[in-house]
Formats: sequence, structure tokens, C-alpha cells
Amino acid sequence: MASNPVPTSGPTTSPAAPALPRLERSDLRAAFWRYFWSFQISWNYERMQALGFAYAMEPVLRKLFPNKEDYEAALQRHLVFFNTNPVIGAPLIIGSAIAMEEAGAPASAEGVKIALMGPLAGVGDTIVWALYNSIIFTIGASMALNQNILGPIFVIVMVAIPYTVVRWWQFFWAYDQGKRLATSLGSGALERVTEGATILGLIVIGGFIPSIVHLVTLTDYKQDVTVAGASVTQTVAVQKQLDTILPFMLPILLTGFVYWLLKRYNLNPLWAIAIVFVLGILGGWLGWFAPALPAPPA
Amino acid sequence: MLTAILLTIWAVLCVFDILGPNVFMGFRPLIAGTGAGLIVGDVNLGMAIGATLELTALGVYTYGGATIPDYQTGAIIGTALAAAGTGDLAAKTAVGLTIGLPAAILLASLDPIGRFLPTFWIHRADQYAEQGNSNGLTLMHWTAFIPWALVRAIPTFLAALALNTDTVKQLQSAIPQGFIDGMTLVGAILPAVGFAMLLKIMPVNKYWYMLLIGFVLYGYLKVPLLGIALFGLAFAFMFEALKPKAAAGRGGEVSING
Repeated sequence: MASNPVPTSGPTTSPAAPALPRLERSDLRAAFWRYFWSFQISWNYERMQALGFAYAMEPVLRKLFPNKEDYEAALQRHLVFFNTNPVIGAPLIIGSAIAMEEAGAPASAEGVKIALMGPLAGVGDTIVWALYNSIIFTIGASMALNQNILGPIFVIVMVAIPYTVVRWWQFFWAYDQGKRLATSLGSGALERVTEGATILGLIVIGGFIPSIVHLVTLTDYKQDVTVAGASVTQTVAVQKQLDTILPFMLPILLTGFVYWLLKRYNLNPLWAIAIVFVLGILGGWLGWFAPALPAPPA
Repeated sequence: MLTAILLTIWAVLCVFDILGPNVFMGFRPLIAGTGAGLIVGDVNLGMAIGATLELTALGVYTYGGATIPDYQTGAIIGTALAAAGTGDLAAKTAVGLTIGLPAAILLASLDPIGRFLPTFWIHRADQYAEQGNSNGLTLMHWTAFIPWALVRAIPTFLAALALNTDTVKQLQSAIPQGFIDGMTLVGAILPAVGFAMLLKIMPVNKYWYMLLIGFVLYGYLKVPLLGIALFGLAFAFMFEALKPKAAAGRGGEVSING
């Protein structure tokens, strides 16, 4: 931010001055639940999560700034552009911004928001969406394909409880850390968590591809072989031959092909979907490949 | 009519959940489809359509506010219309996919409208903040959800209204068997796109051998998915624990100059 209005009653060291309003745990909880229930419902292209951020901060700001002008300025301060991951990221930043507002350091609150929203968006999106959700939902979807209602239930339980715990813990941890947050996050812990999650994700994806992508060819070819001096024509199933080379070869090749298209040509995913769609319709209609819904042995 | 209203409410609840509480991940097709299945009275159908769409959408999330196929509404509409069809579960699922997948892709064009319109709300919120009007701010925050809800509610309601058994049956009989077979195959191979998208955002060049571990566990050793996930968890902890500490102590890219 180029200009930074600091109209607050700064921290005073004089013992004679009236004490700054202190925040109770109930004020923090009010902010947390506002964030929890509705953080992104006013998301928009212009300022993304700005209004959600201001709405979550509002009960705290009202308490901290009894003076109406200070309160108005504080609200406007938190209506600036903001965007990060809503599960890992946002609660941490809100908690830390509250601690800094309480310490009478609104400039630090803004600094934390700007410094952390980008990196935490990257870490949060990778861990929460790409890795954790993909693993949980793949397992849940495979159960659901076997008509097991526990599939969706498993997913809901594995989302509702860990998400809520992680959000709650982050929020209060960041508030308690206050100014020390910078040192805590800078020690490389974040990198290690991300790397560990990446490794877990790749191992799991390596197993998921052959179990979820079902591509079995029904084609066969005839070959002449000489059996005991007589020439015999044999029918050989292509799939059997492929299986002796590498199990699940076709699913691996298909996934590799799409990955190559996305990576090499930076293809829009919608086009990748369209290409596989056409390949599937043709291959299934012509009977080259077995039409089978994915039904892995979960 | 009641079903149409319930499905519409469900579609709105699903999008509310992802924007707010994140307690049931309603915007994922597995959940949206299963819920729609409960409403139309065929849970297995909703689960089958939702789960198949889910696997095609695995790596597909809205990173930084990008628009993605609206799998949620696709799963709800697909389930609702397929339930009105005839045949066994596999046949109905194929019909649901035939409708749900293109619907998800087409409806993605409405998503930017829902993301654009709340801009007007936030300007009003600016005025309320200037006046220190907290009730006004609250009102703007909660009503800015209306565009988000409407771009999903309207198509769901219209599609559910068309949930006339005869229409769907006519539609179904007009689809040749070859196409149904093809759609079934599409459902079986589309997860390749989801996995490819996941791999694209991950450091495959650096850690490609991790993929081999998972492949060997499933392809040769026949370990179930949950077993692979647990093995991966243990392996990731081991990997981090055995790493030389010097490499990790170089500090994060996160720096705060508050």
C-alpha cells in the first residue's frame, strides 16, 4: 500500500494513560466464527476476499476502537484486496492481524496480510486441494462406485473434522504468536511440510492412476505360427500381450499423453477433457476398448 | 415441483459450503451427486454419477479464483434427469454422464457472472465502512452471495422442471447403444485428465520416482488404495526425518516485513 493511514491510538507507555481495550477470548471467537461460516461468500473479481476479511475483523475492531472515527478508518483499512487459501492461510492471517491491531500496530497488520497471502495461498492450495482432497476424494469415490454409501460419508468426516480443527488451531496459534509469527514460519517448517505432502501425493497418485483409469483393449490380431511342422493361425488378444510387458500399460500411456499435452503445450484443461471425450466415444462405439466404469477394488 | 425446489436448495447449499464453512465439500461432484440422489430417491445412482464425475475432476480446483467446469451443478442435473430414465444402474449412469458432463462444461460460462456481480456489493460496503455502519457491512457481505447462488440455482431449477419422465425416456431412446458404450468408456478414462492436471502442478521432474513406488505397490503388489496412502504417509515422514538438517535450515521463502 502506498499510503497507510495510521489514525489509531498508538501503544502508550505512560502508566497514567487510560488502558487500551483488551480483547477477550469471546471477541476472538466471534471473529473466528464469522470467518468460519462465511469467509468467501462475498468473493468478487475486484477485491476477492476483502469484504469477508473486514466482516471477520469487525467485532474485534469495534472493541479495540471505541472512537467512531478510528473504527471507521480501521474498517476501511481491512476492505482492501485480499486473497489466500481459505482453509490453510486465511485463519492464520486473520489471527495474526488481530494480534497486531490489538498491539496498536495497524501497519504491521497490513504487512502481515500482504506478505503472507501469496505464499500461504500456494502452500494451502497445494496441501488442501491438490493433495489432501484428491487422496480423500479418490478413496471415497472408489467406495461410492462399489455402491458403498460409506464413500461419501468417509469424505465428509475426513473433511469436516480435520478442516475445522486445523482452522481453529491456526487462528488461535497465530493470534498467540503475534509478532513472533515471522520467526516461527521462517524456520523452514513450512517448506518441509510442503515437501512431505508432495511426496505423499506423488506416491498415492502413482498407485491411483492404474487403479482408477480403466482402459482395456478388446482388439486382437491373427498370426501364423508353426506348430509341429504345420502352419496354424492363432488369435492373439492385444491386451494379454501388453500385460506381459507392463501391467496397466494403457492407463499409464493415456495419463502420460494428457500430462504431456498439458505440460508441453500448456493446453487448457477443457480441451484436454474434450480430446479424451472424443477418444472415449470413438473407442467405445467402435468396440476397440471395453466400456467399463471405473470399479477399483478399494 | 417439490423435487425441483429441493434440488435447487441443495445446489445453493453446496456452493454456500465451499465459500463458507467447508464442512461437507458440497461443490465436489461426489457429494453434490449423492445429495441429489437422496432427493430424487436413488442414492446409488447419485453416488455412481457423482463418483465418476469426481474422478474426472480430481485435480481440478479453483486456484486463485479461476473458473473451472461446474461439476457440482453437472452432477445434480445429471442425477436428476438420469433418475427419470429407464434401465439398470449402468445404463442410467451413462445417461447421467451424457447429460452431466457437457452441462458442467457449459455452465462454467455462468460462473464468471457470479464472480463479477458482487463487485457492486463491495462498493456499497465501502460506503458503510466510511460511516462506521456495521449492520450495513454485514448486510452487504451476506447478500453478495446472491449472484453466486443464482447462477447455480436457475439452471438447476430449469433442468429439474424438465424432469418429465417421458421427455427423458424419449431422449434416452434416441441415444444409440454405441454412444452409451462410448460414454461409459469416457467415464472410465477421463480420470486421466484429473491425474495429469494434478501432476502438472507438482514437481514431477524432481520426484518422479515417487510415482513408481505407488505404481509398484498397486500394479504388482495389489495393495489397496488406503494402504498406499498410509504407506505414503509413513514414507513422507521418513523422508523428512532422514534429510540432512543443514538443507532444511536455509529458511523459507516467506518473509514478513510488517
